[in-house]
Amino acid sequence: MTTTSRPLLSRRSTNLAIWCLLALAAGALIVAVVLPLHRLTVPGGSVPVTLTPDVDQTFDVPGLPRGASVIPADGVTTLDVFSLPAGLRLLTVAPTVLGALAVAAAGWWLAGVLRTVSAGRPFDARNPARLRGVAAAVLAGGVVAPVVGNVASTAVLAHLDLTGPDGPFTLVLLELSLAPLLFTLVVLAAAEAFRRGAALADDADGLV
Amino acid sequence: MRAAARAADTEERPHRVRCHLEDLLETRGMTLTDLADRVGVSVVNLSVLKNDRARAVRFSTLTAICDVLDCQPGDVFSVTSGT
Repeated sequence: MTTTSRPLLSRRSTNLAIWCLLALAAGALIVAVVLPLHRLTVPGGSVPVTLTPDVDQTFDVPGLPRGASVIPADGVTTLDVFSLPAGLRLLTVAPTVLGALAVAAAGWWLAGVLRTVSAGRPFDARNPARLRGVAAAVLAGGVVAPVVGNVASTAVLAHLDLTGPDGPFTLVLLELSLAPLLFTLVVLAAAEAFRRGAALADDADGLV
Repeated sequence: MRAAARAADTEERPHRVRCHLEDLLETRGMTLTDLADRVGVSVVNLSVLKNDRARAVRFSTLTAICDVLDCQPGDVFSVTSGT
């Protein structure tokens, strides 16, 4: 088989990318394990919240119980609570853990795909499944994790009895972002292309 | 899984084509590596062909082999009897 163009990535660059992805996956996995363990050692937690429009922008939020405070940061308002039950504390870190697990899984599978590309077998039979896994990870981290975050926020607000119609917070359960959905579709399309490529490669196997 | 699929394919469409490359190389005093260099096909692929593990041959490869070995396709391949 002859190739008519130079590869986009050299072997060294590909190997570097593989190691970076594996390091990212390892780091994300450590975060996913350590974060909930750490959260169990501290008494409180924090969740993102949305203030109702009539709340003063100085964040002097009415009705907050003792030990709870509202903190603005980078366009996201966070409710910080000094003391929460263990289950709720774990729920507050669930979105981050889910996101970290998604990053770890996606990094691992992408490294697997790059490894086969580097070895000259881009249409390895395992790559379509790996790419479908990456798509699922993007969906989990980009769509499901924010929903879990909103569930956590609602649960904490309910625990603090701040979910009434006159409360200072707006309850949000479902907040869909287009970018992760589009990226999932792109990765699924790539997975299908790799599946058909694997079939073509299998047809050409043994062709001299 | 690929080997099993290949085996299944062979079972469905068996072939009785045999390659006589080894005999041709021996009579011409040529090694497989020499042939690979002159034909422009990898030694690995020519080895696959020589050992009857190829599933298909490009006409360009067959033409190059016949040019180098000064022979005809019928000298390179034959179909064994089905009995």
